[in-house]
Amino acid sequence: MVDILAIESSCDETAAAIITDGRRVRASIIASQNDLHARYGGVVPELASRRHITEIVPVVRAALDADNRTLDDVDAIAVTMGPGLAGSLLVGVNVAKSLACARALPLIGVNHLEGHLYANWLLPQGASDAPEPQFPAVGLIVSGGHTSLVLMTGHGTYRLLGGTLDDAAGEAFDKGARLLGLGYPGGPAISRAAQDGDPTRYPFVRSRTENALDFSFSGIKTAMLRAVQPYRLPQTDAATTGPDGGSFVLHRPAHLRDDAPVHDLAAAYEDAIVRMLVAPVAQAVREHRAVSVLLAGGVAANMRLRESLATAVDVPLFCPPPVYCTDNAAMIGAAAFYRMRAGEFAGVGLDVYPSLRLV
Amino acid sequence: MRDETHAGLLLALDTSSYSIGYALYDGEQVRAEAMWQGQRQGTATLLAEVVRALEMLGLTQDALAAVAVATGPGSFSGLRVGMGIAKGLALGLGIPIAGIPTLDATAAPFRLCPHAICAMVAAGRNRWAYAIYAPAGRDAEQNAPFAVLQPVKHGTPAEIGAALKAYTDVVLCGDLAGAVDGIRAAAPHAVVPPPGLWGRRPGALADLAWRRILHGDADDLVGLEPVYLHTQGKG
Ligand SMILES: [Zn+2]
Repeated sequence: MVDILAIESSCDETAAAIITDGRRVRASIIASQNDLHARYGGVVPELASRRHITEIVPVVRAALDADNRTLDDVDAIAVTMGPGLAGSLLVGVNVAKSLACARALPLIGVNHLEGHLYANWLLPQGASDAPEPQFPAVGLIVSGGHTSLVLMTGHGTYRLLGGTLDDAAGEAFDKGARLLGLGYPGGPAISRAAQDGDPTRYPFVRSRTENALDFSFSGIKTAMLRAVQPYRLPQTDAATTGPDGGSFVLHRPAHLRDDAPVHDLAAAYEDAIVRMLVAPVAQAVREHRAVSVLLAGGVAANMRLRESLATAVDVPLFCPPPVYCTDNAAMIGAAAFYRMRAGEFAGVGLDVYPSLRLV
Repeated sequence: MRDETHAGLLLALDTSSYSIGYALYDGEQVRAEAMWQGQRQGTATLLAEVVRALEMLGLTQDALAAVAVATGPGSFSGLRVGMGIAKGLALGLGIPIAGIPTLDATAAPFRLCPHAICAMVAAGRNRWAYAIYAPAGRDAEQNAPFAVLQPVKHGTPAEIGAALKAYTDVVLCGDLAGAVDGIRAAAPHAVVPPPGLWGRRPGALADLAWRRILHGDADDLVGLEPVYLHTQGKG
């Protein structure tokens, strides 16, 4: 049995987890900063870094405590080395490296995107076993920062099939939510509003991309802008002084007239994004004779996306439980286990790689 | 020769500005010390260099008995590199941690001289964070508390020079590269040491921290964070 202490700090969650043999979650602690960034309508990097440096020790301690462990009972340390915000990443990487050094433990640097995919290897709470994804697998990574379609032919072996030409799917949700006067983060807000909406009243046309496996969300964003225009009320954006002395524009969702068809527009917008994501996955499964589909990233928590994908593909679809879709350290521990099994370790010279790619 | 099995070393880390470095100190001697210009590579190099220094001394990480870190002012991300390493070591080894103000450590080696001390740390964009300390004379030997004549401010060399007119005898120290001519234009009386004495000495940081930890005055591992001083706007 291999017990890995994993640390994740690539964006605005400080997280630590203990994972056994890459699949069993012994403890997973996540200190979210959503409250901190919500008023800016997005993550403010300097504020995120400040929170990481004070959260990191309690979060690691809480993960150990939750499993009645000390550092003596840990076999390796894993940490997200990128991609992400440089200032956020460096907190996790420096703490993880010095922990590994202090305890003379092996260190594994993990690609955050690979981590998201490996959330699909984590066993559900309470389960002693569950089928694991088989290769070749098509993986769709969808989050606030990423939208990538990959082919996974084995552990740690990837081929990029497609990506977004403009916004990430999560960003498209955030921008749509802002236009509709809904909250941040936008994905859950749009999903809630869409529940009592009719997606057929405003059919948003999906943008075509040259490579059928790429994504583009700029078209529907413009369509949404046009659809809400007649209902907009005047407002002013207030700037405020940020921690660096620079100014941030506070997040002010749009104000719309009471008769704005918010629910129908939310439903149509969500439906358009979901269709845009599902079609390339289905095509990739056919083209590459994939035997599993892996959904990963924050947007993977979207129920309509899950349902729609399940009906569109006829191979097993893996979706992590929502808590392992958004950023967490359990997925980093899972990915680290397979890198460790392949003999891939990081040294004391491990750096941060803010624009690291999966392939 | 010292009996190395007794070695309980304090590791001091300074990542406040473009120069970063470490010292290993046993309360009697600085056993290893280095400072180099490489803040951008801080994550990749600093801990690796500390490990190498321990190896050169024939020691391992288990020789560390305490860790100290410069808390700023300085580059926010840069400071968090040192702070992250310090926190990880303190947590992993179960040893005390102490945060030391960067400018206190900068001024410390000059406290024996009879002048006021203007300690400076580069803040980028032709600005420096600086503070002015009273000379300590022989009290410096006992590490008497720092008497601050002017608390930390930010300024351009011209602004710093203007502030120094109030002090008849004042010596500059710290990150002086690029600042001396501007300061001297406004304050020709300011004493400028030769460039070999510019910068900061992690050994001085280690000394300040050693005395604090010896008196049981360690910091809270969880709450310790850099000093966040605005680098723009009103100084
Ligand atoms: Zn993520």
